[in-house]
Amino acid sequence: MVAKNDPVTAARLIEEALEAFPRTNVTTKAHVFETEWGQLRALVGSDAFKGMPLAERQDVVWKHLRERVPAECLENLYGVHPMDLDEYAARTGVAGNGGGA
Amino acid sequence: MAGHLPTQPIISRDALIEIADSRLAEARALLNAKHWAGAVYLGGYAVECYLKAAICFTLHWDGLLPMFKTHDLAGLLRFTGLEPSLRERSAVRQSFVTIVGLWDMYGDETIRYRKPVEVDSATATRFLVCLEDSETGVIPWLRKTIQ
Repeated sequence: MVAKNDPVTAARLIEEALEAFPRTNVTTKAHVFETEWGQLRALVGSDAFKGMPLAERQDVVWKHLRERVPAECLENLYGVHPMDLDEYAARTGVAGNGGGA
Repeated sequence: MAGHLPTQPIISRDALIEIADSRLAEARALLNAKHWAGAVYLGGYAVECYLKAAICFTLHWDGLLPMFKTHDLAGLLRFTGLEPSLRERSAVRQSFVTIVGLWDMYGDETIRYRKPVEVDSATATRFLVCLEDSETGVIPWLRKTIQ
């Protein structure tokens, strides 16, 4: 069981799970960060999201997380922001097309 | 420094609720008129105003102080003191995080700056369900808590 009050572990597990989205042969980048109010947010970039309606992106990414991350680690996650790799690079400054499985 | 904190409310709690209900009605109207991005945009503001009213309710304030002038929905939730209550309602919580994920990207990029064409009918319809479904919606839950 993961400690509920361990945001570092929670963030790491969430980030690892997101980077495995949606399958291993697609490049996915993820960044989990803590807001000024101590809540977690996640940015996830993958071309699997290209052409996918925004609401569907939410559904698939949360389903993916619930299947892979202990529930207590998701308690402080208050927003996941899925985008394609170009959007992710623009948002984070991290190019999404180099490396990654 | 506490001595410099503004203490005059910028808007009353009742006005926040009135504005929230108005934004929600406008979101519905835009959805019916197939203006999907506009429906989401105004629907998010309805949640924001209800959260601000909930902060006033929790703190026994008649009005909102300037320090809460933010669009950070999750941050506002923290100051309502309602996070434990939301955790006990997993379906409502899922609605809340979906709203946050769609509307508020925590920073300079929100759905407000997405091209309208990127917001489709399914997304707008889903967003309104997350807002106002009687069982799973965020606004009915907030309304009950501040009555």
